Amino acid sequence: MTWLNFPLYAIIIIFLWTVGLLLMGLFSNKRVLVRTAYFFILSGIIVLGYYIFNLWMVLERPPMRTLGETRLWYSLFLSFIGFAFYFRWKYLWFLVFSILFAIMFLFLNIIYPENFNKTLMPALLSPWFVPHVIVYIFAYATLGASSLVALKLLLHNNNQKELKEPEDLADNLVYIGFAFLTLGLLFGALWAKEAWGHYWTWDPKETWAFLTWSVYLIYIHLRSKNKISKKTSHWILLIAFIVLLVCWFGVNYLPSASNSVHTYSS
Amino acid sequence: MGRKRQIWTGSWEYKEGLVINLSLFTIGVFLEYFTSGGGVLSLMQYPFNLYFLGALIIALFVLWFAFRNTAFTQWLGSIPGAISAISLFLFMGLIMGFTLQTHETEPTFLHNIGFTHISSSWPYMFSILLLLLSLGITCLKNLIPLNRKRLGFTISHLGLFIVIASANFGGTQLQRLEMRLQEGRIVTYATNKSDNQVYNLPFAIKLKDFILEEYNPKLTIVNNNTGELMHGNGKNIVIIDSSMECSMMDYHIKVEEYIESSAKAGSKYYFNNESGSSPAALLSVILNDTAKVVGWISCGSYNKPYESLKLDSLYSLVMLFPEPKLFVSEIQIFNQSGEITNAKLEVNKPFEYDDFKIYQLNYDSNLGKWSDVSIIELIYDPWLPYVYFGILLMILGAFYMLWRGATKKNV
Ligand code: HEM
Repeated sequence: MTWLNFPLYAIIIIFLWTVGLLLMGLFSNKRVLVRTAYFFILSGIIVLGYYIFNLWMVLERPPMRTLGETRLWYSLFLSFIGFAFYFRWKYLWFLVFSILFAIMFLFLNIIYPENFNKTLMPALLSPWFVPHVIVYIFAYATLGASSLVALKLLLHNNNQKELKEPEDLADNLVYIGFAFLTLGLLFGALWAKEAWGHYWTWDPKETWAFLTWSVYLIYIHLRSKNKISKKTSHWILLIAFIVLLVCWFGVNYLPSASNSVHTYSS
Repeated sequence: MGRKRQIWTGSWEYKEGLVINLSLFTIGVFLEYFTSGGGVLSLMQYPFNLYFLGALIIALFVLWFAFRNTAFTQWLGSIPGAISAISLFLFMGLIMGFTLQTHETEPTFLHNIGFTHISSSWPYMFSILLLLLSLGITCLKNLIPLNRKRLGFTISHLGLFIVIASANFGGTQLQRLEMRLQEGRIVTYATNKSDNQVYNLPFAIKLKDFILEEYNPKLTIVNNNTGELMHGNGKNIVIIDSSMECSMMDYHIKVEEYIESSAKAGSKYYFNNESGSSPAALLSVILNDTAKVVGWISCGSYNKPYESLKLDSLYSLVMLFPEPKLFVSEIQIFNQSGEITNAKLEVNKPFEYDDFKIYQLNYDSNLGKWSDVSIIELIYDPWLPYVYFGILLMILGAFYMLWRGATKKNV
């Protein structure tokens, strides 16, 4: 099991998810079929989890080093969050969005296959590695989900009545995501102290992580007194997500990054 | 929001925030410009950093106890004040995010207005001050008198205040000293990388042994004419070991023999453990089901040539240099009263001694595994406990947020 098997697994997962979503969408009043749909979606998540687990075993290191590897976790968490929230609050559209997003990330990995690389530089051999990355990617997935909610609200902002709940959904997602983001940032700082001697050096990756964090910080404070229009707050969530993506993928391409210590991939 | 409010009347909000931010930024840039990009660090040296921090804390208490009802204090502790302060800081982050930050002092325009060294510049310092004022008032507001309902957020705010204050005011006392050790020698001095000053240490360090463990080397295909590696995004890179068998492009490759440390004699490689010996492998390669090539390859070392295996007119197999897995320095520290301390330095595992934390930093990468040089770093960071305390509070705050975030908001 390596990246060479990935397309096969990805297709199985995408198939399971698509069938699940179709069943749910088309037969939302037949309980048995909805149950079956749960089964399909959950199976997709489990297959993805199984693939990641095996990759971990084969690589003999946590598969969290390269961008492609982080995208796997992202798909896993996003689909899981979508499913969990559907299970709890029955937002079908939210489930659809998050699964579609998760599928997109799997596709990205098919188009840009990864290095099959067992090696891990010494700085990454640390007990902080796994919690730092897991917490971060979980935050990214939750915050990504909040932006999906914002997008949905921006697209359908005329029927105001039924929208109260998704508002809270977005805020809750941001709260959870932001708490994880803060933990990721702090774990990163503690790790950096052990590995590089200082907890914060304004390395480009750190700078962009800080920027991402601040935009969500602004959102939380703006929302805490409900002083801004809903539309503005949704736009902030979309912008925040763009900053997040720059932090995750884009930093490597910025001029300021030419001396970054956080070099992803090879 | 109703009718328009005149600026500077009633309670301040975003308009005032914008003006305050712009003024702080402009004044900061001018100060930077008039000192030719000198920054603030020279002003913040010990003990002045303590005086400034003390002044800030006194100012906070004065604002809170004597001027609580002024528009300024109220604004600092309000959401618009917080957002303004965070925005200014975020703006500093944006500048850093887009311009290369360096230690160089070449008098370019960007240097002169502080943009190349934001984190030690005047505008940054002003934004830190505003942030600390806002955070500080917010903390005081919820602590005196104590607001139990908001304790969770107050912990976050207080933690952040402590982190930012100690990182920025205490950060100037941070010292990073680099030390170059050579096996068997005793060294008593270290170099400060930021100003290249040499310091004599109150103790001496001797490198007993430097050990580098490597991963097995990797095998890949190279284009004979262009020298380009045909790694095919990782499809054509494999780690060699004695039982490896794989296919790359149209070739089927089998490792017949693998020697981790070897030297060449005649046309063959034999086990050898002298300085400069390198990994080597005997490969047999089947091309297109017909032809077969057998031969040795090796990545060579600082004093041995590499050897590749030619497959056909287009491609050859090469062995890449092994990547380091772990490097460790075994050192002895001698202090002035004659005590000897043995220690092991490893990446991610610094060793605490005296007021210093000692880090494994580097080695002579030309010699790789055969390096007898180890570069270590001694870090003196007296404010670290405060930063950690702040971080601890923020972690608690984040857990509180997780717990509360999932419940419905009390709008
Ligand atoms: C770890 C970072 C931070 C977190 C998690 C956080 C969280 C929060 C939350 C959730 C609230 C709303 C409380 C409520 O509505 O009951 C709040 C209020 C507030 N925050 Fe923050 N905040 C953070 C950083 C900051 C910063 C950097 C500033 C200022 C520069 C700030 C200033 C304020 C102010 C002024 C309020 C209003 C407090 C009040 O009305 O009592 N916060 N914060």
